[in-house]
Amino acid sequence: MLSFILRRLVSVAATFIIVSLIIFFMMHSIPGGPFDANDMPVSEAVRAKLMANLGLDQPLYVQYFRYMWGVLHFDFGVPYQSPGETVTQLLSRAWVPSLVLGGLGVLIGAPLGILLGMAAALNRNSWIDYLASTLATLGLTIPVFVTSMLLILVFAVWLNWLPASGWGKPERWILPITAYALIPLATYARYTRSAMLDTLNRPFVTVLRAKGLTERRIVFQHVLRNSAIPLVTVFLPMFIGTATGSIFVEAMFRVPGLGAYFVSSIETRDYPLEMALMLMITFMYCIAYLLSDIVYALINPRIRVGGGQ
Amino acid sequence: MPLVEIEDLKVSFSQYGGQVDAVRGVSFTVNEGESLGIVGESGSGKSVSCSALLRLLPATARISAKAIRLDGIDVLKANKDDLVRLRGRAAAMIFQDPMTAFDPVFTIGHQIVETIQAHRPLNKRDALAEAEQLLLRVEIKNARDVLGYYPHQLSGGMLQRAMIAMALSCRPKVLIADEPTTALDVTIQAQILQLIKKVQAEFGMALIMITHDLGVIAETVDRVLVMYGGEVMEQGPVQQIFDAPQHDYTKALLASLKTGFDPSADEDRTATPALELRGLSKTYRVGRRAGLFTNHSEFHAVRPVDLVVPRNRIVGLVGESGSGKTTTGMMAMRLTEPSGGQILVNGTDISTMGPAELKSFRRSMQIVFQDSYSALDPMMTLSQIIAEPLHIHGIGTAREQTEIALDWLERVGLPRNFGGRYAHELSGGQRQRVAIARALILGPTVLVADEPTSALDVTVKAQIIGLLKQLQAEMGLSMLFISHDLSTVKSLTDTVVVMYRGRVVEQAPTEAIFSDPQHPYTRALLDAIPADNPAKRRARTFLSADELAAATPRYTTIQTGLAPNATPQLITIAPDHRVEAIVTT
Repeated sequence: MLSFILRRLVSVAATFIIVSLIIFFMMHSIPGGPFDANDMPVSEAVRAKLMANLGLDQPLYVQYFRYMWGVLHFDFGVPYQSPGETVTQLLSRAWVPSLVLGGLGVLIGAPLGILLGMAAALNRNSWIDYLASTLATLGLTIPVFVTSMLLILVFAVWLNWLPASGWGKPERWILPITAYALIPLATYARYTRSAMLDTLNRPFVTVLRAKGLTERRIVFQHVLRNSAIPLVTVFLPMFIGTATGSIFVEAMFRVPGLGAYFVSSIETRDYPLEMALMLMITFMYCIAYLLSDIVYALINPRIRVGGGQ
Repeated sequence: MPLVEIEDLKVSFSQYGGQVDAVRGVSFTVNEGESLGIVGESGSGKSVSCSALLRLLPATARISAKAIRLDGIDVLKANKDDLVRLRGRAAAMIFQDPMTAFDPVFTIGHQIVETIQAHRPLNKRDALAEAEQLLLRVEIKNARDVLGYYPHQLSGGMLQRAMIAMALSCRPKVLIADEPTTALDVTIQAQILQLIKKVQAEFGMALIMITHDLGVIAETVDRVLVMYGGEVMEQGPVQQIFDAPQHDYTKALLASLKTGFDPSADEDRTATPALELRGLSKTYRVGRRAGLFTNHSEFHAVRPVDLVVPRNRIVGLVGESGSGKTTTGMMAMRLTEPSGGQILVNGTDISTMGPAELKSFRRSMQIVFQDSYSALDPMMTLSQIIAEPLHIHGIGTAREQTEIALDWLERVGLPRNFGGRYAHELSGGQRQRVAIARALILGPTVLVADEPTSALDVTVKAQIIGLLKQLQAEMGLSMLFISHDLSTVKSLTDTVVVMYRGRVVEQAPTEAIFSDPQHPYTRALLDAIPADNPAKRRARTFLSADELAAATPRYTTIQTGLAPNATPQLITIAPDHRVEAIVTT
């Protein structure tokens, strides 16, 4: 197991370097720069000075190594669009709302989805099964900005129960968390239902019944454990996808989160911020898949315990 | 009062088209300690009847009966507590495929312990000790280790033993064995059947043996129930059923047990063989992790094999699972790349051919697989499936291709109007006919048939063998027929090649293999074939791998004219009869 983790860490590092190269050179290959004439009417001499100050007059590979050297020391530079703070400060400020709302969304949505999927699988072709299928299909097909809009319309405008937007007081969190939770809820309801049905149809379940085990024990010990194996691989990547903020949800509910910076950093050629965001996402996905694989191996003896006699 | 009492049982399943009757008025009883065999083909209702006894049928089943009683409990009215008493304690069940019968994420020990604890108030340590005792009773020597193993770490035979141990754990009054050996090799089948009889006697249980194989019945039970189409055709003491069968279906079943030799027409010994393998071998590199690095070792799936399929003949390649027989067949077709050696098809070496050259050569060599269900594309109609080889090789127009495909449907005994159907609408035997038509439509000279009948019922199996035999004679085919069972190849083949652990250990004309087997493994295979009459029931002794190796035949240098050698080698002992032996001084 330890050697497996070590190997994977090496491959994570390699992935990280390759991705950083691709992002860096793609970012710079987009025509234009941060101080183009139409954005910022300054004289040619001033622009040259600015570029030199930021090191943008250097060849690309020098810029790359300079930046990556900084990254190794946890220095991600200063965002051009907000020069009063470092990229690290900006990220740690803006990430809090995204993490709280998105993270809670997944932590609430996923278990609910699992429960719904279980109920559907155990009561096949009943009303709860149809409800789960309908919810899952709707949740996966309706874009999140439409559900956000509907939530605002119903609960803020018509019923006037909850504030429509903002950040701060917990009651302002409820609607965006709901919007976030619908995606993992739908995904998990679907996955759980099919994984459980799959397991319930396997011959060993008949054997368990023939042994005289109670239906309860069969479902909660054997079927759930087997169905969990495909499910764990979905969880962490989904968590990261949601907990880094959705541009749409944050725009809809006017949450001062991370989402908006993904767009603005590209738009304004804010190279340090753009690079930092991309590296952060890459790193988190790498770690998420690594952890998923480890958990997968831990709960699946066919992987954990090798070959036969 | 009988232990099991079923009177006028009817079971039907609701499907899209309405109700399908699976069991129509079946009645039988089993007394304490008695053994009953239920024999019939798939779909005859034999498994459904016994599943109804334990209420194991899916919710779509509609069950009615005048009485279903097991150990004094009215099964149809059983509540939750009664069910726990019924299942495992009154009756325990063992199933067909031990590989899928255990939950893969728990150890064998855990699964036996949970069965014990479901019925008896034992703590975990006592239950584990009991589980170990049970494993020893089913002749698993390293019982303590096996408790800690996961199912995937054990072979099919070992798992079926563990399954029997688990079934015994609550001292059931009746053991229901549902095709317990169908998924196993013949030698393992013989061991498991003997074990079932042994524990039945030791535990004083009744036994219900469900099978499609009369050989299994002849070996194990006192009384037989013959089922067909959801009804009981006849029942009686086992000897009477075998000696004086009343019903035509029973007679047909019995006829399929008795097969004679039927060699192909005279052989032309001067002709180039249709298929010749010279020193063909397959070695896999096996990686074993040690820290950050991987140590590679070699696994010899097939050691250099020489094999000849003469023109117009059928050669049987026989061995247990893992013997390398399928790999050999796949290599002969260049579907698995060999690690060394040559493959000669009609005298041309195809082992080094490039893809383009090989493609045109494939017209003369085709294969039929064991699992007809996964070998046929579910999205294509039967005529498309059969015509596909013509399409690939660009033979004829689309209309002509369909026409030829429909002709072939008739030739393999299916109606022409099946052309528009899909594979899932067919029975296993019908699907295998389609697979044969697809393989033969290009008019190949060589056909490799990899266990084409081992998933089929006995009567269907006999039909498919008959079809292959007939087509072989008509088309002048040369066939390599791969099987794990010597009795299957008896009437079909001219020569038999026996493989064991990646090596050819004996090869001889079919009659000589049956009348004068030389290698201990060949003898073990022959000995394992179930009796064709209960009167011939016998106790068998089974040799371990080491005992088999020790029993390798020995010949002197004078007999063979070869130099002495401690390593076993293939020597010729009679015309066309070669056996692996040690040459001594």
